[in-house]
Amino acid sequence: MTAAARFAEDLTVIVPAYNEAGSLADTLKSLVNQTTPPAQVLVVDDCSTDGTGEVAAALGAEVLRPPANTGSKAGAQTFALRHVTTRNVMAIDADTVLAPDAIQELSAAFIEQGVAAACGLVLPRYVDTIWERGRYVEYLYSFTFHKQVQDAYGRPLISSGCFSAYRTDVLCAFGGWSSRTMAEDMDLTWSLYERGWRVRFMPAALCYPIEPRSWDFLAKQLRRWSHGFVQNIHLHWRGILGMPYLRSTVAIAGFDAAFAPAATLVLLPLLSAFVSAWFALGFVIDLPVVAIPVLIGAWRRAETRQALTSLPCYYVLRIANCWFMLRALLDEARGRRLAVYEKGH
Amino acid sequence: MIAGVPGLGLSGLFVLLSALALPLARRPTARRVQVARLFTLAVIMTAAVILSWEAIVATVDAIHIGGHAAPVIATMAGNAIWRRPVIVVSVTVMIAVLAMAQALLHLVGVQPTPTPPPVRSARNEAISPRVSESAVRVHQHRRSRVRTGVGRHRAPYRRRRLATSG
Repeated sequence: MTAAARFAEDLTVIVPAYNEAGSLADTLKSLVNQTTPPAQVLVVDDCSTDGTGEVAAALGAEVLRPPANTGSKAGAQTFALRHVTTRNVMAIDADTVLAPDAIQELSAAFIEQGVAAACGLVLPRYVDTIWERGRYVEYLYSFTFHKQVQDAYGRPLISSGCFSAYRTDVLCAFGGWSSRTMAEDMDLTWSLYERGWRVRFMPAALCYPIEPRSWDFLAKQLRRWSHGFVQNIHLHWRGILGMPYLRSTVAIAGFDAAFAPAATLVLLPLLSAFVSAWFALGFVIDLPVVAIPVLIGAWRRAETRQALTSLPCYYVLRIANCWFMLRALLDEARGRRLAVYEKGH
Repeated sequence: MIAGVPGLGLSGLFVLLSALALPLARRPTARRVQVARLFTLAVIMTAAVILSWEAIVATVDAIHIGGHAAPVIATMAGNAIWRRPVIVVSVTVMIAVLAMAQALLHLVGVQPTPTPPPVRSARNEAISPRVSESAVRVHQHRRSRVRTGVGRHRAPYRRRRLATSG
């Protein structure tokens, strides 16, 4: 028996779901069709009203239903964690489909000593609207370059919540997924680092979530992510000071988060309008840096045309990112903490 | 999400420089092939940044020489700072930010973030009935349903009796 098969034999997949009847079937089918299928699939029907639980049960998954809505994805996942009997546990979103060998590829991370969590490469399942196209480029850029460099230094910034696996005992020791921030995956990743555990990024393990198609959904998601980032820096800043690469990554990301939105939304437009139109180049001056890894990544997937046509959308999405980051910083600084988890998609 | 990043955002620049420094890293967790691949990619990206900057400067110069430039552009074209790639400015800011983070470490020291209380899982012991009762009820209810296959595939999930449901 291969190591991957042994890993899957001792793996429970947790799928938190709130009104996901429309997308859950694809997720469960992709789990069934794995080259190394998991031992158990637990779907947390978080008091859905659209028959999510029935869909899950019909497809052979075990369904858990908390007495009341847990209020967040983290809450639902931790609720299910109490029922896990296997050595390994994986969390995937109810709108995420895995590549057939995703679990097999991800399992390789756990052969190494000290690895408590591993995540895979994320790409949008549908690439149609401007937001999906922007996200497609954003993910290709960050997962084919940023995250791989971070992994080479042993410090991926975040083990993505939509598709990550963990050692059950370690996860339980950390209290599961915490609801104290809006980005439970970042919170958990940084907590693991602080206690000396390793996190790996496995680029060959692919998953395809449904990204927000409309502005309304995107706004909810970006609001959550931006607040989550700020909340995690506030929570962990003293804990991560002792890890040089992570400290540098977070310091730089924090600086960017604080100043880049102001530059993008205020300074560049003013300079472009009142000083010289040449300053508008500032919006796209990093195009070569973004385009090269994106086009190489897309070419490997035979999606070059899609990447080329999606590149402009990335710059539109980035302005939205800046807007929500600016708002999150101001809100959190004024004590208006985002505490209600609103589903983005 | 990549926070912010307008122009040559510092996050992008930091990762680019990290990739360029990878061959010098003492204990990279990546294999040599991956290190080589990321390093090569970073070299190509750096070259592209410098070339595109040179192209912009050349265009500004051409407009200035042609006499079509606005006064500000004319000033910029003649200004040495404008000619200096923005990457130099970004690197300077980046070093300042990293130095501040380092200084913070010396000033306040490391303090681990408290973690939530551990979760008692069914793997190790019987879970609290208060927590699991309703969940187990639903779980058992679902079990009584007729299971259908997924297309041609039968669901392969092995049934494991939960500690609390037995």
